[in-house]
Amino acid sequence: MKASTHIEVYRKFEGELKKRPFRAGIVALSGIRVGFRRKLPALLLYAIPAISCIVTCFLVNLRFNASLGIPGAPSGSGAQAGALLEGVLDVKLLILEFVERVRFFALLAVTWYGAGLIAEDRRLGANLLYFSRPITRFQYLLGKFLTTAFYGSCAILFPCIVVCSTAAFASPDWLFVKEEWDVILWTLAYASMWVLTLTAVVLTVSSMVERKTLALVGTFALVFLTEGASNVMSEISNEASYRLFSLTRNFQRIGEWMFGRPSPLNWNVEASFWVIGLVFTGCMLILAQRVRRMEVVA
Amino acid sequence: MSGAPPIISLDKLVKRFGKVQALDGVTVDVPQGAVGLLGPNGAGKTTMIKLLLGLLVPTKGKANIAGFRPKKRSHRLAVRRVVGYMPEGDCLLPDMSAVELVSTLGRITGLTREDAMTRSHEVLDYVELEEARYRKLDQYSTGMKQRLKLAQALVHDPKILLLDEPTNGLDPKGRRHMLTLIDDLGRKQGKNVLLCSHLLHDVESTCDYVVVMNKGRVIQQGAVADMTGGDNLRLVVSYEGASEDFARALGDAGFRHESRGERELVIELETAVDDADDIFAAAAQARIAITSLDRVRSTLEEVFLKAVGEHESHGALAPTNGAPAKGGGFDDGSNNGAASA
Repeated sequence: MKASTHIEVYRKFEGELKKRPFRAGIVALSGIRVGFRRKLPALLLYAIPAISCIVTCFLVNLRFNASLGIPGAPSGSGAQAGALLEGVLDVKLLILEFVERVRFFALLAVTWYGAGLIAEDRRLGANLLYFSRPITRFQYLLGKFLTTAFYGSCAILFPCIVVCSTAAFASPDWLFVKEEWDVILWTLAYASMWVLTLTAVVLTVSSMVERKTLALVGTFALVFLTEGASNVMSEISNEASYRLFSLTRNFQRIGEWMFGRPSPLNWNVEASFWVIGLVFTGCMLILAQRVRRMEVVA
Repeated sequence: MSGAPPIISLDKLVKRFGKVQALDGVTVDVPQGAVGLLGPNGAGKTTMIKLLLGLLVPTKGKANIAGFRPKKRSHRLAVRRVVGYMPEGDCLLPDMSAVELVSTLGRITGLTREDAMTRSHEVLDYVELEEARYRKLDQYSTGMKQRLKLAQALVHDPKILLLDEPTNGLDPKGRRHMLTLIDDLGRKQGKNVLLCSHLLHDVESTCDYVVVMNKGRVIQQGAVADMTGGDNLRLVVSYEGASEDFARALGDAGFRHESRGERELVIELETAVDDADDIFAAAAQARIAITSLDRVRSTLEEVFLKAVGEHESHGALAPTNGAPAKGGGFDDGSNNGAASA
């Protein structure tokens, strides 16, 4: 026979409820904590950006040290080797190539972690738990947005900050900050734009389906099918502007414009900004509508 | 019930989903205390709860809960601060632990981080999930999930609890446990509980007042004690002695009766007047000792089936929305003392 030892009683709450807690932050924090609980996806998604970040930082550091000459080398040859490295390693180019490399991992991270956020809430009915609390639709959506954007930022934005910081600290007399401040600005702007746009796209797809797997497939289909279709149309008609339909190509165009690199994509960069802006606005409008239906059914 | 103002008031509330009429002009005042919202599946109980939380917008009519009108956006958020809602479905996020879920929802409601954590542990202890609180929710049994849903509804110590089918899917032991918790919250902790269920026993054992719904209408409401208060024209008598002698003596005294088990008779009276003396006289004549005498009591099930049956046979012609608990076969609560043995 099992003895009953349970003597817990209901205790009243004597404190006061906060009027305006940062509810979006609470939702985001909870989502981030849950997402990082599974270690393997985190390892697979962030290992390569992390390694790439370390290598880039090393090269950036080497480049700035080279400008001071190679210490310990015989007189004359150290300066020669430094000048050679200076010519080979262009910091701006290094950063651009780094951004281009980790961009794909940001896409993977945002899609993996963001795909289920709204879809699973809808499937399980967890939106009832949220919306039976004093949380607004905006706060809920912002919470989900921050969660997803954080995962994307871990793959691209935070490593970019690390690389730029390394460049700033390694350059003699803060030369990189003084003379190449626009590189820092464009790098962070580019990484942020990429993360925000992907977040909007992934959450929109997530809000339209009821399973994480469907949202994953939907997002990849959207990104890669537009890429493939625009490429095919461009090749057939021999007209590069068809590539405007591709999200990644638009970002490529913007990146090359930002870093002053010649681009094979010969359309006006404003068109790419328009496309990105339209995609983002469209996604936010759809999201607002979908989340509204999650809270209140008219 | 007491003279306190109603905690929930609905006025000609209508909700349509396309061609489906979920609520059909419901007018009802729900008193404070533990109240059961009883009705068969599809009666409109869940719709009513969602309307009260502002999760649905009414097609017509007004709803008021704790002085707020959930149709208004500003009121909707205020309502949710004073209400704890336990949804019907399995709505828990599987990757979380119980403590995480409850404290997160507590913080969203407005608890500080420390308070949320303390309250989470307190309410999880209360629902007896103390040992499983750090386990992931996908390892929870149905009973544990139901208790967790109750815990999250309680975390901010709300004034009103809206419980949607809390005993769904539970085994008898789990069901009994859940009913004990609800009974404690409603009767001992002074919470205003609106228990939505199609299980009559659940409502009967935990609630003092009941609102019966069918096909989107309120077909009966009243105190459970009044509804099951008994039939003034039928008495049940337990006795010791020879059955034949007692039956003969009752027949001689002009009472119609029938046997109900060993040493138990149901006696039918002509009028609801105090005939107890005549029954005792007949018993004395037959040298019988009466051990108990009481009115024949209806179960809530009988009341419910009768109300639903009447509503369905009358169709929409005789709505009793918002009518006080009288007529329709229910005892009005008046007691002429005939039952006091």
